[in-house]
Amino acid sequence: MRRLTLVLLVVATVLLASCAPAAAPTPEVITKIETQVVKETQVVEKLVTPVMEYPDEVRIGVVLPLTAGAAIYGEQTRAGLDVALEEINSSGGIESLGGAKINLIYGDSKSTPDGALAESERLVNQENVAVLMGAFQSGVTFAASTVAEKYHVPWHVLASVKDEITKDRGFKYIFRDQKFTGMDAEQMVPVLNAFAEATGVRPKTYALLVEGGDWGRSTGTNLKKLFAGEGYELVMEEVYPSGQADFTAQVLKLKEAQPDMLHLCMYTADHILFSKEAMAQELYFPFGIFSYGGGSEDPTLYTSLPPEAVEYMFVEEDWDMRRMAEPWYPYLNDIIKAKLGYDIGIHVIRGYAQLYTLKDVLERAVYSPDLATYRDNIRDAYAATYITPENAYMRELPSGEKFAPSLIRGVSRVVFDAEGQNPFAYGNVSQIIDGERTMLFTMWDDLPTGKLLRPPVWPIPPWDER
Amino acid sequence: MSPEVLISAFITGIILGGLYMVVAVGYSLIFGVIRVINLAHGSLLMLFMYAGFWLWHFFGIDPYVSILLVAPLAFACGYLLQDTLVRPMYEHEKSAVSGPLGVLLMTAGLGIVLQNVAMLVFKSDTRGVIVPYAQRVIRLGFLSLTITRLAMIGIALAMVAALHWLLTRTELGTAIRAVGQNREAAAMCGVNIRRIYAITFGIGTAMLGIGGCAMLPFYLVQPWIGVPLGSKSSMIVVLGGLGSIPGAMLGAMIIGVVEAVGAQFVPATAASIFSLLLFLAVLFVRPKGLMGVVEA
Repeated sequence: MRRLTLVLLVVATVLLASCAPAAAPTPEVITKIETQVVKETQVVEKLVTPVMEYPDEVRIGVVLPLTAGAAIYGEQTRAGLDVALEEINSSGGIESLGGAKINLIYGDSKSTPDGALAESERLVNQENVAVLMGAFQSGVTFAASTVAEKYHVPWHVLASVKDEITKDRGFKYIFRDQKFTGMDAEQMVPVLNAFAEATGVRPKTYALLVEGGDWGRSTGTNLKKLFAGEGYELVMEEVYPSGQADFTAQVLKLKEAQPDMLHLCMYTADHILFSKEAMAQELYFPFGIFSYGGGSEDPTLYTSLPPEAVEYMFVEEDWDMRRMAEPWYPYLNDIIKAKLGYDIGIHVIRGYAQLYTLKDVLERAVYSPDLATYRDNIRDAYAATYITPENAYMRELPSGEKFAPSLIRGVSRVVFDAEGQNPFAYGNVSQIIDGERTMLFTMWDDLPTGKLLRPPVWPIPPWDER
Repeated sequence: MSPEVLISAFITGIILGGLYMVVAVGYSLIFGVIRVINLAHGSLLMLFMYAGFWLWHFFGIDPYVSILLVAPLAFACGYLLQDTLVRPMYEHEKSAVSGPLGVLLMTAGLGIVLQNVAMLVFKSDTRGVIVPYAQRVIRLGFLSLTITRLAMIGIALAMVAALHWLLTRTELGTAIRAVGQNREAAAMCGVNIRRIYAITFGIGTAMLGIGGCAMLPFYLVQPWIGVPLGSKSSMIVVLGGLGSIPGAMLGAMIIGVVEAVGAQFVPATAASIFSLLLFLAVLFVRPKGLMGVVEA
């Protein structure tokens, strides 16, 4: 429409010029007009020519911990991303770009903010990516996303939950379809209330044991703030350095403090060491251990511990585990388990789903051969995202059944607020009962109060009664 | 804080010191004799832990039994490492009249290579041995001591005792000590320096093999598991005195106790400051370490 208007304007200008009364135009004036028309026509020609030269690929930078301490999470996320990539590219790529393929270019953060910063710079300035995704650990994403904001490259958060990654930061290029720790803490209030109502018992005291990075500290701060308002008494708080060789000191402190419940944030290795020692020392909390993901969402935790060590543990889940009963789960699990050797969990599922969300964004983003403009257009497309079960891209399974890959976590919709946060991306709470992670409470069925699906095992049986 | 908790923390620290001792003593032995700072020490520990894990995983061999298989393997690895990689680099640097920086960098690079090869081959999955006795404890009044950790310190002390016997009661041990004291003089006495170096390195890595298997019942394995323990052992060895085995033992115990007891008063993130401050203080007052060996 804009192009047509311009053409008409030029034609009108020419006509008006030719209709000009009075003095005949001088040669200089004619030349000037003709030159002007030629110039404008050239501009119009440029604009009216359809952009037929779509790119062959859209380059996406993915910053993940592929080595060092957090590599297990990077490996699982990458497995999900790669399967989604293969599916998208083999089913026509980005249709609005004439079938352009997505090209994922990985950068290894080495599990550190410095590594992520360096890789982000490389991906933006040397690999010329249109979008950045990453980077799992909150502290790493918080640092590396400044590169994206500086260069006006959209950053699609993978896994990181530190509040300030989106909240009160004023960044325009960051988007997170993932809960932040404030939402975890906020959710725990109705969870505990629902548990208390269902069982008739309620904890009075709690302890915090969190890793010393941004994830742990952010979760701890939010929990303390909210629990204080609910009347829970904090009897022990411990921040420990991740990668610690021994947790006996923390176990001793907990034995001394005797809290009713323990809320912890631990990555896999720490969680294994702590759980082993806690079991050996028969550390007992009448209202259980609440683990806010991290290690407790890593399948390899459960293959490294005896089942008794984690029985009755509550897990703050990032996805709706009831979805394991849906047909897409065995389909995806079979493909990826063959690679990883164990059943998939949230980290794989997140990688898979988020790439489909990115596909949705790229389908809507106005292409420009100028990379800076294209990045801005993608950013605008992110901001306008609204994926629901009614409009989501559907993928067909070999069995003929269809599912929406970008919604497989169970989130009701993907939409970003002014800060780039999906306000609907709450979590769920499960409890390990008879070795199975059983969903007890979900926020997604009934925002903002959430819904109790079944009562917990409360109080937890003492060790000698198990 | 109750006295029971403090005593428990102290005992915990001793046991933790046993874990550190197993890693640090071999490191100290290698430096004391060969004058090589082996920055691949932590990565080698990781490899031998994997060896013990896979023996359990595929053949059901208990980690303590796997010591009999892994220790000789570890000795052979250390022997070959010294003879084929360290020795040529060392001799090259000797002739080039430059410092021993090349050997240091080579071991650092080797450590990185081993970590990444482990990641490629074994992946980054966290793995753990699950044995029925892992959670058994011995209760002595208010003390609850995990038997696997008690076994760790027992094995560590036994290992050091065996090393002491080897060094003081055997001809090989005498040769090792002689080379450690004065290489040229030992050579003039007919000691085969090359062979002694390789054997010493092998003994150091064999200790890692023993310690790695003994850790499996209560620890875990992943490609980067050796990094924090390797760094800790460097600190312990310097604290105790480079080249001094009793110093390494003492340093390990001190660090273990300071960390465990300190963590009862402050958060664990701050407790590690105590051990680091202690380390700096000792070096400031006594640069050669608590029981450092004065070079001839």
